[in-house]
Amino acid sequence: MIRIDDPRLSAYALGELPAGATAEVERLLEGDPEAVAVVEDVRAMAGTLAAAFSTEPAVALTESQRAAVVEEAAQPSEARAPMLAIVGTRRREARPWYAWTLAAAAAAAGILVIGGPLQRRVSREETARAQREAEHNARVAEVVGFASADYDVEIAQASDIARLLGTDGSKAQVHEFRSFKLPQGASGPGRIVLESSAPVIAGLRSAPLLNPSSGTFFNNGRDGDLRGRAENVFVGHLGSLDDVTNGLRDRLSVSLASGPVTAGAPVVVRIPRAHTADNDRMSAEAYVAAAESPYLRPTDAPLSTFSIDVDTASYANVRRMITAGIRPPPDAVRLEELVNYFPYAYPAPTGTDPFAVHLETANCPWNLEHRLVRVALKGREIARKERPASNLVFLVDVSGSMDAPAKLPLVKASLRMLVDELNERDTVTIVVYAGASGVALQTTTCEKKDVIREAIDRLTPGGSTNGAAGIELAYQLAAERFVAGGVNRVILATDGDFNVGVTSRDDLLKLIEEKAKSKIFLTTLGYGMGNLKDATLEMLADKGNGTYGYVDTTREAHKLLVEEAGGTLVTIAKDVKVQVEFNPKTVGAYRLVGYDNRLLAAKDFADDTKDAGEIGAGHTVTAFYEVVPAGKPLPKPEVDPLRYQPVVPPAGPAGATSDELLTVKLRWKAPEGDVSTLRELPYTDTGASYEKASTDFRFAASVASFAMVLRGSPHRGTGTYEAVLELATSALGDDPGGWRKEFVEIVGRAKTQFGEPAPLAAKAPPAPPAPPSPPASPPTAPADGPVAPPR
Amino acid sequence: MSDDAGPEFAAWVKDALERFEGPLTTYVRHLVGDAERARDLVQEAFLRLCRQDRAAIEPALAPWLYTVCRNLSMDERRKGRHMPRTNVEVLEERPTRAGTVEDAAEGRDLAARALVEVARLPEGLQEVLRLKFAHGLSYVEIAQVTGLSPGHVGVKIHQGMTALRKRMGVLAPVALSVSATVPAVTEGGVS
Repeated sequence: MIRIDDPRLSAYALGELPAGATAEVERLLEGDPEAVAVVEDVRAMAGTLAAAFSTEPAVALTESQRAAVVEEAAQPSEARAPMLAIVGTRRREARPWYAWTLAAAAAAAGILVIGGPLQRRVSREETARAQREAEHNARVAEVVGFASADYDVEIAQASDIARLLGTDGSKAQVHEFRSFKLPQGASGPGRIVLESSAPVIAGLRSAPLLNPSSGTFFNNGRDGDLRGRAENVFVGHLGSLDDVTNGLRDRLSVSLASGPVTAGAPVVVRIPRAHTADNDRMSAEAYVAAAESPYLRPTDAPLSTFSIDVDTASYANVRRMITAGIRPPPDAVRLEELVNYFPYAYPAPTGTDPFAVHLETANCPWNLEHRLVRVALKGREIARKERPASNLVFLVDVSGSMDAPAKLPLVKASLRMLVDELNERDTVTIVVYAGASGVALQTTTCEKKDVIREAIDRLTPGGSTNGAAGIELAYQLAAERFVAGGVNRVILATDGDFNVGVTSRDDLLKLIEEKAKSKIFLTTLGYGMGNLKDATLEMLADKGNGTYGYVDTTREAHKLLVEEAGGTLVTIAKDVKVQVEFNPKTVGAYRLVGYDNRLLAAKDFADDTKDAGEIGAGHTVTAFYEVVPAGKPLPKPEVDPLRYQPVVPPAGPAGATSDELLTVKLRWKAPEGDVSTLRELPYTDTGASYEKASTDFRFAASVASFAMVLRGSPHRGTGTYEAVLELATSALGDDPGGWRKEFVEIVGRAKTQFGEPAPLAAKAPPAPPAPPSPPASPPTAPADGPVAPPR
Repeated sequence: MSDDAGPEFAAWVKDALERFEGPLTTYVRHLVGDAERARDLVQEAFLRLCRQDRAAIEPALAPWLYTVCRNLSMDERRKGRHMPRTNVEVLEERPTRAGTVEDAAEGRDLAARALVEVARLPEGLQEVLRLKFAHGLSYVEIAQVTGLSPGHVGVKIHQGMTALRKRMGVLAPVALSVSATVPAVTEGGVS
């Protein structure tokens, strides 16, 4: 007998067991038909898998990549750059098995291996050369270019390597490297990193160096911030290639002043790979994954709590990608930001509250058995003349990566537009950050708009990005000019690539959280593709009490900074939270559509220390719940049914006699306040059909449906691009600004380019949709159990 | 010292390219999620191959290449620069090994289904299954590439196969309830 979960069964089935173990298993299989069946199944499955994997389209290298490899192989061996071991010493995982083999081979062939004793080639010329080097440069650091995917790195040329011999251990010694020849066309904002097993002070120099006796070290003014690391490797950031190539064209010279260094201790310099002139590489974009909310039953989870969100960046980003023919990654499609992008004509508040709440229900168009509940907020409008005095600090990223037509020039155009909208009582300060950060324009009132515009025009790109220092400075200046009761805001314009200084996302977020306490709000404006760090920018706005917009065209800039200037500038309420309590008598299950990364715990609702979103003047916020009325069949469970608790909710808890559908509760704080105000609004379903729903309702629903179809959401029901088109075109309404019409175009493009997704029905999975995306993406197959394959 | 110069070496590298370029790029793409990045990393692996001692590597060329690719991918991922796995763009295709795919619609459906189910498995299982069935590495080779012990590799493969068999219903409906199959008295003992 052999247990069917014994891994030897598979190993045996696949012929992977050594002879002795094979015989043992065969013995155990005798008289165990179940186990034998398993073995046969494994073999059958192996065949299926092999066949299945071979149907996946293979990806090949480009012609030029292949050619580069072949060319390198054809070089005579001495000319090839010496090989360095893979990152073995810094790795936390086990060393690759072959590393010791390699070291042994290296000993024979004399190839350099990091982490092991350094070997030299044993050829005669090399010996002679080594001797010459040793004589000539008594103490020079050994620099080995280090190929690692951590930083797109080029390996330094063999001819530029020199060697550091030990020091006497007491005094700081000064050494200069021989300079490296940089790879062709190397440039870019990526930082150059130096690693050493001993503390060193280093800098990039374009000329021979410094004054050893004074101990000062001149490093062309860029940061050389060194930090110790746990594994006794010291890491320093030496600025960027941009910094270096400004002075020297093609040589990188690194100077070291070091403390005690053990003989042969390697010092490693990592040089970022040359960026191509076109910096728009999709690979650098980063999105945050968020799982969609599941259906919940009011008996298990009667409260749904979330933070409002008026960001619109996701729609602009998705629009840009679809227009360029690129399929947006699901995680870039934030449903609520798509819905909230569009202006809706919700009635303005009449009382003293900063916003009005409007609820509406109708049939759910993508799931006719369900109801769709829309919660809408409309913020109080503020006429331009009535806008309180604004103290604005423009914080502009002028690093090298911003040097593209869709970036800095567009930033400048955006800021000029905004300045046009300002009143004479408003003030503008401009802070830039790149390498060093600095004040490009001291605080200037808008009585002198010409001066401001001129300062904007003078902004030029160059240097690496030091976001943290810029943020500090911007907030400091905003605080100095704080206008009580007015608008105090930092407007950050960037592509999100924070390269130097505080680079870890967590550090950056902590910094901004701290700044948020200062009652100065933040608007992040994202520009450009490629380096757009969507996740970082969204988080910054989130933690920093602010909003996030993505600007890809002047038209979008105009929308955000002119048409919606009031909303962008003036916050009328902050930390706005919504909590909905569903009535189990009328609601079988509910699902919050979107707001996936805005969810709050129920207890956070009343907790004023918990941060939430802001609403600006005139802003609208729209949220949908998809509701399964009590008595209707519940959607397929996402989780296996519980064993110990009933799946079907009881008829209704005693005491719940109300026929209300839900109660919406809202909390918010005044922009400079600390205590929240509460409002409650019970609501009963009107039973209205979809056709009777308002135009705004129907259009917003079509956008929500589009987002789900685009993401391939398993909750999209019968939604398709075609269905979305139908819904949207019949709900265009007045369409001020033409944004809805543009939406219809975008949906049409998506449909043509990507094709309709597979229908969500319980049948065998269809062929993958065109254009080919590998079937190994998250499946849109139903969440119910396996379907027996056709036999 | 082995001869690592000249046209023979270049031919060897070229041959390695031919054989492994496609599979390696596919493998890396599944790890980093982005075809373009995958190509860069695979090219890097081959460039490193050019600087190796042929005699040392040749006997275990495949595991070496896969290991290098894997290490490069893991570095990439640790920097958080990989794209979500769902956005894989296939920008250039090569003809697949059509001979091994059954032409019957049934075969195609099954294959597609299998891929879907594999994608639902935890990443660690997926990688091991791919290395075994898409790339044909042995348990020992997979252990070398991933840094797991061969025993652990075996456990993972069996786990993966078990999960797939269950989900795809390939397993004949043998009742797995304990009472039916295990004799009341276990003479031979359960291994």
